[in-house]
Amino acid sequence: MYILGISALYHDSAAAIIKGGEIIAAAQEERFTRKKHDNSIPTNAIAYCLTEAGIKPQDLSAVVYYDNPLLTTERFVANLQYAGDDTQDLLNLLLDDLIQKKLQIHKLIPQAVGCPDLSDRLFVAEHHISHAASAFFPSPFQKAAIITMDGVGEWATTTIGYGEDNHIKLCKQINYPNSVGLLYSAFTYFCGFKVNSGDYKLMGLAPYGEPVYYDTIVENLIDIKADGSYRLNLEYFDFQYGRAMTNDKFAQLFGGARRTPESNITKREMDMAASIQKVVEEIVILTAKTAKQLTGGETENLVLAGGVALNCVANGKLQKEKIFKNIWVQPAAGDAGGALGAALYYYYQHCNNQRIADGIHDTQKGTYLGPAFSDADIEKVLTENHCVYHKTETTEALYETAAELIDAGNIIGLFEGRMEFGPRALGNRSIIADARSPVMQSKLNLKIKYRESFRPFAPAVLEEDASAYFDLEGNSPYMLKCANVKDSIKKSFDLENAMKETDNMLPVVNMVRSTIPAVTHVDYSARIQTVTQETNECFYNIIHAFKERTGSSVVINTSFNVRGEPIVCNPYDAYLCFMRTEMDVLIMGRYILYKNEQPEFKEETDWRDIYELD
Amino acid sequence: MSLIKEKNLLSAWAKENTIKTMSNQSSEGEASYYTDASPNEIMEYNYESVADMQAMFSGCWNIQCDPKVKTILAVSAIANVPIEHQTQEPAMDSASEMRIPDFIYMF
Repeated sequence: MYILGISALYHDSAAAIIKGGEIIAAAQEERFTRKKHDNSIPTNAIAYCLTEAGIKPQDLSAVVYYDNPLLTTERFVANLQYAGDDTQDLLNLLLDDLIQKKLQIHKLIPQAVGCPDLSDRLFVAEHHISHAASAFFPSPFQKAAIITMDGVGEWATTTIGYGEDNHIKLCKQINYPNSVGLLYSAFTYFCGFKVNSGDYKLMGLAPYGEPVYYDTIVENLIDIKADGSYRLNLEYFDFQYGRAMTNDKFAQLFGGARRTPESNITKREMDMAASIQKVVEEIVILTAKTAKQLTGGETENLVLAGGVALNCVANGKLQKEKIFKNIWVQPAAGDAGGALGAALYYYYQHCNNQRIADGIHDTQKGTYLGPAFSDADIEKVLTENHCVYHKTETTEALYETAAELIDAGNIIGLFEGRMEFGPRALGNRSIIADARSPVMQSKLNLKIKYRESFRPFAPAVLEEDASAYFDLEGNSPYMLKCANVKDSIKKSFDLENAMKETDNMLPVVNMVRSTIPAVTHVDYSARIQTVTQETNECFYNIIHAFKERTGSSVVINTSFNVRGEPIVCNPYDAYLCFMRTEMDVLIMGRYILYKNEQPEFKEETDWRDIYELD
Repeated sequence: MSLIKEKNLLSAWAKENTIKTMSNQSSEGEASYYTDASPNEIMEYNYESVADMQAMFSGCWNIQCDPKVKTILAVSAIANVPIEHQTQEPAMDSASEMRIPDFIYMF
C-alpha cells in the first residue's frame, strides 16, 4: 500500500511517500527547482518519490493533500467580511492563489502525479492534523501529547492534541487571525527580514538584545491567558487585509518605521528580537502545561510540529522546564512536513492500520529521505566539468583526510548519501569546519555563505560526547534543540559593554566565548546536532577521526548553500556552490576536490543575481 | 466600495464563533481563548466536493461590478462557473498584478 502525501501552495512544497507505515522518501520541491521556499505543486518531488519507491502513479493507493481548500476558502470569505470595504488586496489574492490554485487541486495534483484519473484516491487532510500526524506517527512514542503551532492552516493556528497507537485527536485550537506564528512573522517583517526565511535570523539576533519590549508587546499586541491561549490586537496588524504584516500604529509603538532590509541592524531590532522571543517562549511553555493537564498527566512525552516548532531556542527552554520528560520535534516541522503527516494520517487513522512504537527509536530514518547519488553519478559530473579530483581508496582514508583538512583550517563542502528532508543540513549536504577557530564564524558568514555577520553556526557533536560540551537534556539528532555550552568550556566576555557604544556586531561575533567559539552564540547557547554512527556513519566517522586527531568532538555544521539558495540537491549543485564561494575543499562520495587545483571557473551571469536574498 | 452587500447571507455559513474570532472585541471575563478543535476529518476531494462548496457560496455573493476584470472572474469562478465545465483558464492581468506579496504566505 503506497501513499503519496503532498504539501503545496502555501510555502515549502514537498512530497512524501510511505509504504505501509514505512517512510520511503520525502523531499522539498525547492531542492529540485532551486527556488527557495518554492510553493508550487511539487512535480519534481513527486517524481522523485515515485522513482525512489520504484512504482508508477497507478500503483498509488491514495494521494493526500495536507490542507483542506474548502475550509481555507471559508476562512478567506470570513476574512473578506471582516475587511468590509477594504477588500481589494484580498480579492487579488482570492483569484491568484485560492481560485486558480488551491481550489483546483483535484485537477493540478493528478496532472503533477501523472495519473489523470485519481478519482476515489485523492484526499485532503486538515492542515494541523497533517502537522500533528507528522509529529506523532514517526515519533518513538506509543502515547504523547501533541502541540502544533504555525502561521495559519485553514482556521487553526495553534492546536493541542493527543496521540495513542495509531490514532491522534486534536482537542483544542486557536483560530486565525490569532496566531503566534503570524505575531512572530510580524516582528520578522518589521525588523527588515523576510517572513518565513528570516524567522531564523530573528531568533539568532535575539541574544544580542534585551527583552525591553516585552511589556509593550503583552500590554498592546497580545493578550496571553494562563493556559497559553492568546488573542492578537488586530489594530496593530495589516495582514488581515492582504497587505503588509504590520501597520503604522505598530511602527509608532516601537518608535519609528520598519527597518529597511539590508540596512544596519540597530539595538532596537536586537531588543525587539529578544522581546518577541521571550513572548513566544512563554506561550510555548504555557501551552505545554495545558497539554499536560488536558492529557491528564498520562504521558511524559510531547511531540511538536508547525513552523513555530523550528524555534529551537524555545524548544530548548521547554525541555529545561521538564513539563514533559521526552520531547520529539518533527525535523520538517514546517509545511514541508505536512506532506509526510498527511500520508501517515491516511495510513494509520483513516485505514486503521497498526502502528508499533518502541519508545526509543523514531521512524524518521535520521530524516535522510531525499535522493542519493552513486560514485558513478558523481564522477560523471566531475568529468563533464573538467574537475581535478582525487578518489580515496577506502572510506577510512576519506575520514582521515577530512579530519586532517578540518584541523588545518579548511572549509569543506560535504556531499554524502541521501539528502535531508527539512530545513536543516545534518551532515549529508553540509559545510563543515573547525569549531575551535575564533575567526571561523565571521569567515563562514562573509566569505562562504555571504550572509549577515551576526548569524550563529551550529555544532555537530558525537552524541556520546555531547555532555562534555553542552548542558543538553537528552539528545538532539535533528538540530532542533538549543542548550548552553558547559561552564567548564566557557570563556568570559562582557557582551553588555561590548555592545554599549556601537550597533556593530562584528567585534562581538569575533570575541572568544568558549573553547568552541565558532558555535557558541553570544549568550553561550548552541543549536546542537548530536551525531550517531547508527544514523549517519560517514559524518560520525569524520567527527570521530577529528576527535582522534585533535581531542575535539565538535565541528561546525551549516547547510551546503549560499544565502538565498536552497540547500544543494545533486552533485552539480554542490560543484557549482563549491566553485562560486571561497570554500577550500569539496568531498562528494569518495571524491575529494581541492579548490586550488581546479581549472578557472567562469559563468556568463553572476550567480548573485540568480538567488533572491532571503 | 462594498463588495459584499448582503453580509447576513454570508454569516449563515461563516460560523458565529469564527466571526467573533475576527473581531477586536474585548477579552474581559474570558479565561481562555481555546475553542474545541475541528473534527479532524479526512475527506475525498473531487469535482463533487468542490461543487458542494460552490453551492455554499451561491447566493452568498452579491457583487458590484468591479472595474477590474479579475475581481469579476474571481467571484464568477467561485459562485457560478462549474469547474468541470471550464474550458479555459480565466484571463490574467499583467504579471506584476499577479504577484502575490511574499508576506502573504498564509493565504
